[in-house]
Amino acid sequence: MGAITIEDLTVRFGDRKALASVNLQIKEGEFFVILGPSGAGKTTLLKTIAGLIPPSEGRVLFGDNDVTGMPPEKRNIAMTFEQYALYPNYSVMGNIAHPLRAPGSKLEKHKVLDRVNKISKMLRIDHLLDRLPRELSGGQKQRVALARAMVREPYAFLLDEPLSHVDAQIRQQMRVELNRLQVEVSNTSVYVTHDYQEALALGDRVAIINSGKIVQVGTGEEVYYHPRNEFVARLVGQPQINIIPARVFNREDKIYLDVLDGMMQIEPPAGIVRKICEQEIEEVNVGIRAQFITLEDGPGREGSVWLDGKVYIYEPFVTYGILTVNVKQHQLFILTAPDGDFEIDRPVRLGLEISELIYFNSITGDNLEGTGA
Amino acid sequence: MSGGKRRNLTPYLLILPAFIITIGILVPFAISAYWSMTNYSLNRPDFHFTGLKNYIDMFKSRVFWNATLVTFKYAISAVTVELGLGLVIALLLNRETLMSKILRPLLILPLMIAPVIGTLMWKLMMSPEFGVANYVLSFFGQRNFPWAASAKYAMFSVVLVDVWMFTPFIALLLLAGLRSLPVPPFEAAKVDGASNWFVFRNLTLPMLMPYIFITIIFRLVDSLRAFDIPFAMTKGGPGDILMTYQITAFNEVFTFLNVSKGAAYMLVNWVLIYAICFVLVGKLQKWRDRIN
Amino acid sequence: MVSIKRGKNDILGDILLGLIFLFFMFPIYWVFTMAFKSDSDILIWPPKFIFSPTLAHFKAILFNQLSEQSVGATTTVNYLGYFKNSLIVSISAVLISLAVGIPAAYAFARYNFKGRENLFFNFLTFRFAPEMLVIIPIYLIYQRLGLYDTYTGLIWVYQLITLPMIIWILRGYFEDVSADLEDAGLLDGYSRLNIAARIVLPIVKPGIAATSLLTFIYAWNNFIFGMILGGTGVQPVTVAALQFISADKLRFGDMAAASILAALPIIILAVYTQKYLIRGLSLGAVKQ
Repeated sequence: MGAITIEDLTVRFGDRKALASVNLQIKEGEFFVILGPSGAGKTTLLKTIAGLIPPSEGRVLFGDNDVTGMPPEKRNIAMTFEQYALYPNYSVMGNIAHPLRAPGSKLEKHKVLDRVNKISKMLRIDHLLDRLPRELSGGQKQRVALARAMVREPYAFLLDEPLSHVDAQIRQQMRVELNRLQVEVSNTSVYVTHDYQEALALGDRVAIINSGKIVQVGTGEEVYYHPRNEFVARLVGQPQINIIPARVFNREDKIYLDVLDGMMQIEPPAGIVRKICEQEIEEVNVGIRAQFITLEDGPGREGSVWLDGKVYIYEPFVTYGILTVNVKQHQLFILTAPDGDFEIDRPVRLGLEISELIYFNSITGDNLEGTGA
Repeated sequence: MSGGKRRNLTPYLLILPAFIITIGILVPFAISAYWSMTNYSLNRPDFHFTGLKNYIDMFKSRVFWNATLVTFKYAISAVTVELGLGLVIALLLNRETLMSKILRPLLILPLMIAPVIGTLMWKLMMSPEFGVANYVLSFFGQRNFPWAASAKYAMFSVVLVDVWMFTPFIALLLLAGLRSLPVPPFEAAKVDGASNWFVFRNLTLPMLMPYIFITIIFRLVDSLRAFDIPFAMTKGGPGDILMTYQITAFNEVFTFLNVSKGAAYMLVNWVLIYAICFVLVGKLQKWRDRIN
Repeated sequence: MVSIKRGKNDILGDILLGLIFLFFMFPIYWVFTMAFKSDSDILIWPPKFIFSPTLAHFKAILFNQLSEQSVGATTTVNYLGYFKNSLIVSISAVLISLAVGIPAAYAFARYNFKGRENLFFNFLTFRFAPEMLVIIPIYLIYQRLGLYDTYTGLIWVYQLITLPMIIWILRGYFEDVSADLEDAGLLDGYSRLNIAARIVLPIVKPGIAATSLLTFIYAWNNFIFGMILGGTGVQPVTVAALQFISADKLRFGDMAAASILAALPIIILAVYTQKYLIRGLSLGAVKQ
């Protein structure tokens, strides 16, 4: 059980770089989530930690041990696979006991049984031990896969999208259980997902990966409120963050942002202004999350600025509503109360909480606030 | 990387036994190629290198061009008929009628009979005096149809046997292809009210093309090496009417004891098959890319 | 595809299909009945569809006795002996091909190594080569090595048919097994070959069975190798059946019985297992 360090890890498949100079430090006992869209390199990263894919460059360390060249069967790593990878010719019992019966593990027979029984009770699959994998539901298969990983005392758990193939209702329940297990087992875990809610709910820290590169590492709060760039901002949050373009202009020696060709002017905070001047930025993308936009009747409140638009559509979700408003050619999402009554094309005034605005360099997409290092 | 090196050798070790066995087949292959450039004959104790003389003689000889003509006539007519008939059968069997369901499992039968045995069976039926084939023809005013005994109809007779034997193969592969086609385009066409012919022409056929290519490749490779059926039917006769490459080579070696000439025939035959395969596999790849 | 209504087209299609199948099934039926006809019922015009069956031809073939009905027969053919030859050669050839082909197919499916596709393609080109190309030298080599007319010699050369098929088809089956299973096994602490034997092999067992069967059929049906490389000692049944022609022109009934006996075991096998065979027929190119 312990820490995992990844140094300058690069994996090439032919000419394509699946991972490019990845650096990560996963602490002992940490529940570490890797979040990214499909094809970003999440599974490759996991398999490289497990030793299933040899890195082209860089090192993997368990604690202080360099394990880069160590074959997977020697690494003592437990992993669950996206498609479960249960052995179809073994019963549930045989599947869970499989790691304990490996040539290297010299556990006595009755101890193997004890362990399997204990873990299957914990995951509530003890009544399924005689079944074959093909006789199980998706959620049950997932539990068996988890049990097979947890039956050992591995150096670390690697979990590859464990919830992506189970039904929505079971997913919620499994997430809760995973959270609970994490507290009980408190082992180092690396968890891969494309779902930001899972990432925020489970992770002590979250690493966001895109096109084989780590974009940001931080706690859920950090990546949500202080995204490193537009990619992270868009990936995390539902409905998606609103991003609108603005032009920098100078009036009486003060820097302002002109949003959507004169529809609104913002005076950005001093730190942002400094960045704008330093980098000689001419255009900025302004981001604001849906819950920080309010509907205004008259002129906006103190500390907010406003935009005028027309209702595009209103979607009531029983406990909340999402209002989509067209402002010029841009669409903004606004979180509202559930009982809204919005006629299509009705003019509305949107108030934006100025302290919640996030400013991105429109060319690089980087957050001008400069989170992290 | 202690384990790394050992693991790289594993695949080669796993293949090694199979490779050793095939070496036993590769070596004769090379010997054949060498002999084709000598004057090796079983009549003569010693032989020496003669370069391309055998090939030059061969290309000048009537026997070679006859073999070429016979082989291609046989292969092309058999494969063409089999493809057309096989496609019809596959389409008919792909319907969910009671008849199709009953007949589907029978299709594999002719395919499981050895070509030699199948030819024998047809010979029994094609007997001029007592054959049931002529009995059937007699209803159409034909009596004493000579079948393979006549130079005129020998090719027709062996192609008929080939068609009987291998059309089911094509039909089975195409049927498997038809059943693996995605359903949504066909449903969409149905909703749009497209005619059957339109669906066949613009959906079925293009999507089936990779399968058609595979069957053509398999059948062409086999029929360009035709031996069993014409040999069992007439041993290549009457005259040289059914002398394919392989039968010609067989005669060169085992009748005239001319080993080097036989080898030259076979090498030409092999190169032709290889080249045709190469072209068709390339075409197949193109069709696959078009669909994906 | 779903057929919605049974229209005129369906009936027309059924009639056409029936006629086509008549062409394909009739020869089997006819020769089958011929094997049970007395010679006098065979040598008659017009052909008889109704007759009283006799086992004389089967007796003649199997027990090597000439029935009185075999008009003008002069030679006897030890048919059961040839049957045994076919069995020995075909089964041994398939078993050897399995023994060396399974590891090779697994390696081609699972390892990424230099020259993989080239090597793999070479195994297929054996299937493309005209048989005479290798038979000519092998015939002369065998005579020198004393392998002519031996089981060993024939079994070896049969590898030309069975080995490429087994490697080609089984590679596809191995590739169908999720690589995750093997990765999971590795992480559970097993070696790759251990996993291959204990997890992958049981999964592809049905595929191996179907492939063995198909290659067995191809081996059984082969003619040219046995004819040239086997003398009277090891010749298979396909070669023996042809002898009835040269021996006596008029032994129609014996020929029919011989054909039926040679084809019957294969036909029975095929009917039982045909849904597994289709993929094999195309060397795995069509997956079903």
